Order: sequence, then structure tokens, then C-alpha cells
Amino acid sequence: MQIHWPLIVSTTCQRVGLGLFICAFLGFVCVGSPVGLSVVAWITLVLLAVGGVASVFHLQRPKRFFNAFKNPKSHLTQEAIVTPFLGAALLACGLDGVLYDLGEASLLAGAVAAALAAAFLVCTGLAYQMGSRPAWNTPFVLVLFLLTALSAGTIGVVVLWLVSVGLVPVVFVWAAVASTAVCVACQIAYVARMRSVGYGVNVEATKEPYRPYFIAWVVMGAAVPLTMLLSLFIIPLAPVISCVIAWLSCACGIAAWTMLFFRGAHKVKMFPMYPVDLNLDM
Amino acid sequence: MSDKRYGMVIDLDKCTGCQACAVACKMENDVDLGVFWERVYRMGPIGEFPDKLEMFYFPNQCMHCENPSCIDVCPTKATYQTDEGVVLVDASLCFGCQYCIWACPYEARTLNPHTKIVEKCILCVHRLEKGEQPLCAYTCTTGCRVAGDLGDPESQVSQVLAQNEDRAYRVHPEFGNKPSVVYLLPRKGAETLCKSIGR
Repeated sequence: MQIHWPLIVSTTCQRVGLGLFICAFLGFVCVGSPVGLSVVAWITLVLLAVGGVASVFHLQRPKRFFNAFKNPKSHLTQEAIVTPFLGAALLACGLDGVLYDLGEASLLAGAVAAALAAAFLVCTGLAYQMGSRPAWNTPFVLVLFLLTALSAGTIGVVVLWLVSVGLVPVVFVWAAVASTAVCVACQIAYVARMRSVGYGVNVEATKEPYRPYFIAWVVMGAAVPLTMLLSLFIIPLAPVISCVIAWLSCACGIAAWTMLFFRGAHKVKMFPMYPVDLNLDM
Repeated sequence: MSDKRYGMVIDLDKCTGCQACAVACKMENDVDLGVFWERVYRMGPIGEFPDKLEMFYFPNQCMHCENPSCIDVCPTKATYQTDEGVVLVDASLCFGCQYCIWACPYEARTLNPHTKIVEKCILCVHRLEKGEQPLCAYTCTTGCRVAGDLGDPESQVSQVLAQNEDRAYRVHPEFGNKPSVVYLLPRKGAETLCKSIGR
């Protein structure tokens, strides 16, 4: 399958932004993170806006965008329905403490925004789970959408925590390491599964034409973030820079991973036992 | 709600891969350059000449599934199903997100690069409604295609299907789409395929 660049940008921005907000909210509620939810909400809104603009470029007739709300059974419609509510909830969080003070209702606004962010990620993950693409015909797709968001989100919170107060609890760094490690383990399992999906479309990720994306993901999505995070325990010099590198690398790793994800999503062959005289891949 | 259920039977034993159906389709429906509603693939050859050689032609088009995955994924409801079971695209609603192309397991849809809208076979429903065959079936040099009302046991298409039930095959039944285009497997030249599906 071809790589659809607008979707690479939009899904990467969504996961980085929404993962950040969910993790910041959980950090705030569970361990009293000092990271301000209003700042996180604005970062998330900017990333969502970039992703939204990118996804419009995927549409061949963007002027008809508002037709996207017509089929509630479609995960894309569900995504479109969630979007305005999510935007409003994030805006409410972003303006809290700037234009008004929600007081104790801040927590409620944050919870609503976090729940809608999770719902958005679930809709996107489900949209890509397709029977016609054997590599995508697995619950791994949804799990990986959520795990990549979690990984980027926890690293992002570590960065913002360090920027806010200069120190971050060890437990939160370990949470970022653990979520990234679990995500990488699931990605490895997904890549291993691609080798034997059948229908004549098995994919060896380490070989051409998938190799560049595979290497990019291994380096940026796994090696650099984990090394940078673990380096905080060994050489705690310039922790903010290490964590920023880990966060940016994680985001690039998600993009590289999504490229591999698209490239490996071939359509089922009608009769895989026979060579075909026309190119079936679109 | 209509009792009619339009479908088509294609006898792979008769198809010679002449592509007349693909040309006829382009003429009848004014199909744009680079867009195909109908394609004929050559499957094979594999095996050894003369006794173990396998090859056949496979005309491919929209299967007008009873349970089409393209309809579920379409966010704009541009893709819809008529009461007679024909799956169509409302060009005024489609915004070219292409998810239907991705979701269709049968490679039946194409994005028109000029109109930026997804297109596919319409089973020449305008002809079927007048009691005529789709132009691909009308033009077929070997008569390998018959279309009509699969819900009417007296219709020609139902009778052809009933007479050849032992060769009838709906591609990839495991997806649960229940295609309304039924293929009659070749009597010779597709032994590997027949073995793989337990025939």
C-alpha cells in the first residue's frame, strides 16, 4: 500500500497530543503532577490543529468535509463527531485560569477532555482495523494506537514536569520507560505477525521496500527514547535535553512506524496461489 | 422494499480474457481514462505442460455484496445499497477519503484522478431495470456472464446458477461480505484453487 503522508502527519500529531493530555491528566490526578493542564491543553490543541489540517489534505474533495458526519457506523464519522466536543473540552481546560477559574470543576473538565481524547484515539485505531488488509486485521492495531499515544504522552509529561520544576519523580520516569518498552514489544509482535498473515501478502519488514521504515522506527521509536530515558539514571546531566530528545525521537518513531504500517498493509490477493498479470496493489 | 436481488454469474470456464467486457463497460458508462470498473486478470500459468498446467482468466468487478464493508466505512453515506442489492456511489456526497477502496476486499473501486471521486461497477442497473443485460454480459463473446434477479428462481441467472451449483464459488467467503457476483469455477486449469477450497 502507498504511504498516505497527510495521514502519517495527522495520526502522529493526534497520538502525541492526545497521549500527552491523557497522561498529564492522569499524572495530575494520581501523583499530583505540577504540570499545568491548561498549558498541556494548548499544546494538544495545536497538535490537533496541525493533524486536522494535514488530514484535510488527504481528502480529494475537502470542501465536502461536512458530509463526514452522516454515517455513525463509520469510525471516521465517530471521529468527526468526537472532534468538536474534544476541541471544546480542551479549550475549556486551556482557558481555565486565563479567562476564568473553574475551581474544583477543573478536574471535571480535564476528565471529560481526557475521556474524549481516549475515545478519539479508539475511533482512529478502529478505523484502521480492516479485514481486507491482512496486516491490519488484528486488535493489535487499536492496541498500538493507544500504546504509542501512551508512550509519547508519558515522555511528554516527564519533559513538561522537568521544565516546570526542574525535577521529576523517579517513578514517573520509570512509567515512561515501561510504557515505551511495552509499546516497542507490541510493535515487535506486530512486525513478527506481518510475516505470516497469509493471502499472499506476507511482509518481511527487514527487507526492501520496508527496510528504511523499519530501521527508522527501530532507531527513533525504540533505541533513542529508551537510551535517553535510561541515561537519566546513569548520567543525569542535562536531563531536560535528554528528555526533549527522547520525546521528539518518540514522535518521529511513531511517524516511521506508521509508514511501515501503511507500507505493509497490502490488500488480500484473490487467488494467492497464482501469479497475476496486473498490479493489484493500490 | 423490492423482492428483487440483482446479481451476476460468471463462468470462468468460458472466459477467454478478450477484455471485450472491460471495453464495453467503458463505452456504456463513459468510464474515464485511468479508471476501471471492470478488469480481467490472467491467473497463472503455473505447473507443467501439458497435464499439470493451470491458467484461467478472472473478470473482476464490484461484487455488489449483500453485506458490503464499503458501506460501513463510508463516513458520508455516499456508498449505499439499493433495494435490489446493487451497491452504488452517490457522486454528490463522496469526498474522496478512499476508505472504501481500502476496505473492499475485491479490488473493485478506483479513485477517479480527474473528478476526485471513487467509482465502481454499477451492474448497469439502468439496463437491468429495462430487462436488458449489463453491457459487459451483452458484449461477452463467449456468453460467460449472465446477470439478473437472483431472488427469482425462474430467472435466467438463477437457472444458470442452479444448473452449476457444484462449480459456484463466492470469492473470499470468510470475510462475510456475501458477494452477489458468483463465479463458476473452471472444470480444468484451476486444480490448485479448487483443492484449496475443498472442491
